[in-house]
Amino acid sequence: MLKTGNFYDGFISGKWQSEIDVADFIKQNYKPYEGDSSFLSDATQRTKRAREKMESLFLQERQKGGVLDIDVDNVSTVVSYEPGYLTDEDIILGFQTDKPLKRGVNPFGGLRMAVDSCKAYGYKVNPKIFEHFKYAATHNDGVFRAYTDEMRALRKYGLITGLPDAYGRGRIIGDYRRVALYGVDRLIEAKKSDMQSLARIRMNDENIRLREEVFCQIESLEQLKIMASSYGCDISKPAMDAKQAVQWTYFAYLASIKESNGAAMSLGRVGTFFDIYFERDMKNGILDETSVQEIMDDFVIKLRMSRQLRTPEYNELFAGDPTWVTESIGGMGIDGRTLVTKTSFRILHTLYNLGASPEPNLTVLWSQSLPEGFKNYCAKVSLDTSSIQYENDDLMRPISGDDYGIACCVSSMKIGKQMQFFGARCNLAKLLLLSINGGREELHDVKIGLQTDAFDKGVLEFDKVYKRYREYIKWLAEVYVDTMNVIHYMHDKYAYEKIMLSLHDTNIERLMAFGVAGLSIVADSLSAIKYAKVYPIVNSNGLVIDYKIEGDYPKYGNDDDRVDSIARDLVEVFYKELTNSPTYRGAKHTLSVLTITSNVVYGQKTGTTPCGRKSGQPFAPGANPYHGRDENGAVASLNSVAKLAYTCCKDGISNTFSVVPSTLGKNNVDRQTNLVSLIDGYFDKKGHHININAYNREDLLKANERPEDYPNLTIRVSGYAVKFAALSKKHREEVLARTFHNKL
Amino acid sequence: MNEGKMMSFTTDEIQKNVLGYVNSIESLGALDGPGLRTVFFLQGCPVKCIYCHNPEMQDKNGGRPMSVIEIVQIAQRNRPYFGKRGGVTFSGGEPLMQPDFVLQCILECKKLGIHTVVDTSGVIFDKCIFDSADLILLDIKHTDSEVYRKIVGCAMDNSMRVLDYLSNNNIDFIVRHVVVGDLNDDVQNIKALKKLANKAIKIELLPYHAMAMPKYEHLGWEYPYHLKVPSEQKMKELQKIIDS
Repeated sequence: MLKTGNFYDGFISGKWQSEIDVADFIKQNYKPYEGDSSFLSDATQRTKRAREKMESLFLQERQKGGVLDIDVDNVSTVVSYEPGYLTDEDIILGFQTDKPLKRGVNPFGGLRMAVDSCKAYGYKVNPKIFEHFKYAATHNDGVFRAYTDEMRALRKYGLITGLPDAYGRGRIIGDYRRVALYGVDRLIEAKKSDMQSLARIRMNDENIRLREEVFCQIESLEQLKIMASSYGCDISKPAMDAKQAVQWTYFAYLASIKESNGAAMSLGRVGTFFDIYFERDMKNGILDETSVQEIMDDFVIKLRMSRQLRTPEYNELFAGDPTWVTESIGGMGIDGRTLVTKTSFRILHTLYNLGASPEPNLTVLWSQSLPEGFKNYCAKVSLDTSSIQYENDDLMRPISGDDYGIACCVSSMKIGKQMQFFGARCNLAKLLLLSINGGREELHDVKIGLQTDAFDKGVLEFDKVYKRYREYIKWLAEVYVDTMNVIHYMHDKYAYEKIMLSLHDTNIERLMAFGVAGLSIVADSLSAIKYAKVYPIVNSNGLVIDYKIEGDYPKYGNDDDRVDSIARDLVEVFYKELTNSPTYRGAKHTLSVLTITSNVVYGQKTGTTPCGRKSGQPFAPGANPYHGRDENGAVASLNSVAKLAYTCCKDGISNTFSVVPSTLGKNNVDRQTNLVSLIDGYFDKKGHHININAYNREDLLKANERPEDYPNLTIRVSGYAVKFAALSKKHREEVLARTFHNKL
Repeated sequence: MNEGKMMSFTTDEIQKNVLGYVNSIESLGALDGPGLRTVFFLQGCPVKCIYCHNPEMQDKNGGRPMSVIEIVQIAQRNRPYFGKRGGVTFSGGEPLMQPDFVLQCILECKKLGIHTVVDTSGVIFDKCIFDSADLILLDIKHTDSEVYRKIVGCAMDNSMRVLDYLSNNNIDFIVRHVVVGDLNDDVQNIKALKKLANKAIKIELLPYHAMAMPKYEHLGWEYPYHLKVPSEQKMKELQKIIDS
């Protein structure tokens, strides 16, 4: 039993005391808030000084080409660096290395990625690191030892892109709150007890692996204590007060981003948990609103300064320099009470106290039942900062309960109970071209996959093309699952996320998250083949490289069931095919319609499509309709996307929505109310996710010309926010080309 | 799937099959009536105002034929977005050019509890529609009959008749007035407008804009370059008169 001392004075007791159960603690103790934003406090002088320091470091970082500094002498682990500070008045302590924005080298995912990243920014990795990895394989080594020729080809020609085979898979959310609520010693005690339980099971493959993993988890928890003590904090015991609760939670998160360079390193759902501690301290007269906001502001400053070392090519794929510190805010409890607290407002309010920003990736779990005051505040913040994304809590809650968090952009997991094997995505549009060419890749004329006749003469017939396409889907789904199995087998073996998984239950549910890109292009292409006349055009080698379209066809994005049903059918077919192949460690298959930010890169790798899109042109982001083809306004466009079934796409369906604020109403109050109606409407139609961008096209045109003048202009790109200035020119132009919803 | 939500129609099948000619649909309308609305821009207008910003909708021929049922189905599909105040708006063109169609659409929407707005230039008087719609947006182009004729090309009488009818029959209406620099941006005109429209829920001053220029180019029409966009300062000044 734990020694409670006075850590828990004032808390209502419950199951959370006898078991590790943060959700129960929250449920017993939190105070829903149904009011408006008028209680919020502005930035203190201290916060303003810290912000100034942060922004001057950001500026230096940009001036140095994107990377301020690299520690090339150490391998990044939980305990490899001396403590680092932003100012001498930091409230929340801790950086990944000994200095803010200085990046660590993390070669466990892949040595080459680490070396190339250093080289690109003019640094050289210390030879002693090479020396070590001469004797130890990385995740990347393991994967390529096991990859088949076919897997390599799919990867090389971009049928499957962005696979986590050369970098950390990320997308795992530790329950960082556990450290604050229980203290590390209690967590170690629980893990040791799990070890004992596992000793009673026969030593099969899975049990041997799990016992070794739990052993490593315990080791990493010990390291976490050492790291915290270097900042003068003893986190072996639970947090005494709110400041400690935030600090302990942050240390746990910090240890994770020191240990893993994952693509997305999300935070989970900490706001309402913190709120309980804030309420207690305010009641005891320890804190007032200003000091509570000051703690949140400093916490968010630290999150904004999290950095990973990646190659410029990686950043081009993901646009900007993302870390996806996603925090899930709001939502409803299963008991019908809202999970919105004052701290839900406070974390959004950091966008005013510290300025707009892509990180942390603030994600509102929206329900029709959220309090009006909170809905209105969200709409206001969206219109002012474009820094929020929304996800449909009413859709996810029945599946994931009420203590889930979003990893990356749209991917939900029960916190501490589920983890996932991230699997990037396959290019459905390119697969269609491959099937039309009977297994010849359209840009390089190489043979991949099933070999059969091409549809290279006469008008394309829908039934034949679709039947053929489904055969290719079946084939690709099989190879895709196998590829993922190889990757995650090796990732567990060589780059196991010890600290993050120590903050999970020992017996966890695993998800395997597949993805598709190019959905709107395939839907439109099949619709063109079905409703117009499409003729293939071949080059001198008989390879279909272009199409002639006669007549018009219904286009995805206009709430037209003729084509929307094709899109809906496609994800269902693809999902079903995936589920026919067994996964590593019995993970549940999930699917996302998401491009993250790589829709530009997918487009570059894909030839001309039967819908009329030319070779190399960017795809639409996520599940969005293709640029300019949604002709009946934004609502019709949203309706098309909302028809995709979440039951097949439990890893998320991303939709990016850009609007000129003046088209949402004549004044700010109207705009806010109308934005609330829009989100309510989309989610009532069972839409899953929406990014809201509110900006004028003219401003973006100016920012495209002189990005350096707009360092803080934040835009949302397919599930994620980035600073416009951090995008490549191609990405900026793609954003500009995207449909702007403004009508005379 | 939306196919499942098809409504069953049992009465007045023939009436509901009246066809309308629709130029375009804006499903995210937030500027033509309260709340979020689906705006149906109907084809055809009997007049040719000099600053028309939808010139492509003037021609009586053209537009996509749509039935009342189709309109109502779209309204139903978009209904979750309407919130507490939104609904559908019939604009154009001049929607009253297609009175049977608009009236049937309004009646069907009303049956379903969908809020309806008609956005009219005031050049056509249609008692049935004025009585049926939940809200009328009435464009008053000018308060002086001479200048009115210059802008619209016809006499002001009909417009005044519409205004009188709406004013005297407790019908909810908003008066809209496009403000063009040097044409109708004088204090006198705005004061007269305020007096004239004293029964309106609200008077909205809409600054003239030049964003329709590409449409004129597309049609091969000469653009009225002499028209001036009023300054922000001017608009504030005139708004003060309305608010006072």
